[in-house]
Amino acid sequence: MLPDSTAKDLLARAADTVEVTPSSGRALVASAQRSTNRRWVVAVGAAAVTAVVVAGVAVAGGPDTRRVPAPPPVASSSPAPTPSDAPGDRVVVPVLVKYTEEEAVQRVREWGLVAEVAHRSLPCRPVGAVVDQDPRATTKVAAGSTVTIVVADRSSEQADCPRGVAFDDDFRVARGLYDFSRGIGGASGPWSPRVTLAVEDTVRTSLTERQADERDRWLLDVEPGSSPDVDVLQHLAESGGEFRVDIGPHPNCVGTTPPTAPGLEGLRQLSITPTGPSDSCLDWWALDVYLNDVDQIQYVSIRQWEW
Amino acid sequence: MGRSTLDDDFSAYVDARRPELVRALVLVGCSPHEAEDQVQTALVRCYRAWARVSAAADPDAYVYKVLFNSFKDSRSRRWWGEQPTEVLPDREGSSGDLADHAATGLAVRAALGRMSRPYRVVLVLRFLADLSERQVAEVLGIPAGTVKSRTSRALAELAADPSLDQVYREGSH
Repeated sequence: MLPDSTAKDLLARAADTVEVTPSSGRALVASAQRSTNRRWVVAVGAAAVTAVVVAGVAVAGGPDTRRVPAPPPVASSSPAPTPSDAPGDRVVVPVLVKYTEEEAVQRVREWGLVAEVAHRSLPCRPVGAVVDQDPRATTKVAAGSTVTIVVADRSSEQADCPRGVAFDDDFRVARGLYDFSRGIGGASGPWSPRVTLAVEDTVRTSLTERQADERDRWLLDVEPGSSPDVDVLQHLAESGGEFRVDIGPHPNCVGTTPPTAPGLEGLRQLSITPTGPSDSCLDWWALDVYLNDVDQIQYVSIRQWEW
Repeated sequence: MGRSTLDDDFSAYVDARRPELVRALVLVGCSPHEAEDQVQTALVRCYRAWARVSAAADPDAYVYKVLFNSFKDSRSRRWWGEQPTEVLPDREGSSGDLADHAATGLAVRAALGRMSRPYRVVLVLRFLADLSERQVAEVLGIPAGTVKSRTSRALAELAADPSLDQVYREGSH
């Protein structure tokens, strides 16, 4: 465990790496007095922004690929691009996946880069969302470089999408649960204040955050008095890491999708199902994980074909 | 307190605290641009009620509460109500000199970026904003016990992050 003093030092060092645009309290008071109803922008110094204007014409990369020009020079009252816009500088490519196209393009511009948008038909991916990017986030590139963002077009929306497609954050939750299921890496989570465990649609127990960290609590005594006979995480632990993660309801082995259990409608569902070799439905299982609005695990249900 | 005195008081507070507020939001996961915008919005809200804010037992906790509520509101209006964390430093590029102050800071940011947002938030509020567990609970509207357990797990996660191993090995702290 880190001592508090070390944690403070580490956080302070992290904070020191963040550049903050200067702005005085007097300027803010003046702004607040001038207007109380419009949206505020940060007042900055007179650092002019040199914009690289790129012709907004279609370029190679597919019939539905277009290049989004860098913005025209902006007034000095707008926030300065971050982290750099000077020619020859190296910049870090921002995270773009999971943003809307509009937001992603705006972020690329703010980073002093040029966005190239590729609309593709990606069945059942969320329409209008960025699902891939090149170069990947955190890569260092020269200022003014082109970043390709892949956006799911309207044809991606299909009536018979049985499952969503998970993003990195969701895989992180699943991997955390997998490690936890095997007793690796200590606690998983993050847990919501109460974590409900269910077998199929029957709620069996509700754990506090602290209890949820105890692996033994996931063994359910389904028949009181007998030995624990259902381990909610057993299939996951024995999966060898061969599982897939999807968003939303999933079909069972023969393709029937069960309805969402009452009370869980407002939560985001991840379904973890095996991808390993299977000879029959007897090998099928699904772990349904429901996350609350701050991505904490609130409800976990194990399903299998035959009990 | 008259308006001009309140303005002076508010202005002095902004000069002293605004950078820290922006940095806190960036470490939580905002882009620098968004963080500055959010801080501006929150401070304007506080300005309108500065007589009450400055009279509070702890103005910092009050301002952070306004800031995080504003941040939460803005996120709830966005795509899925959640978005990826802020740009993370290039680990490959910074791994050679982690003893350096800035490199350590970047490694910590990378580690924060790999955490879930609730964990990042408690670390930032406890150890950057320097709020007590009770104050963090008040800011986030959650029980103090939850703050304590999250802080404990977040610290364990931070300590176990591979990008910080080298920091400890090289004696930096």
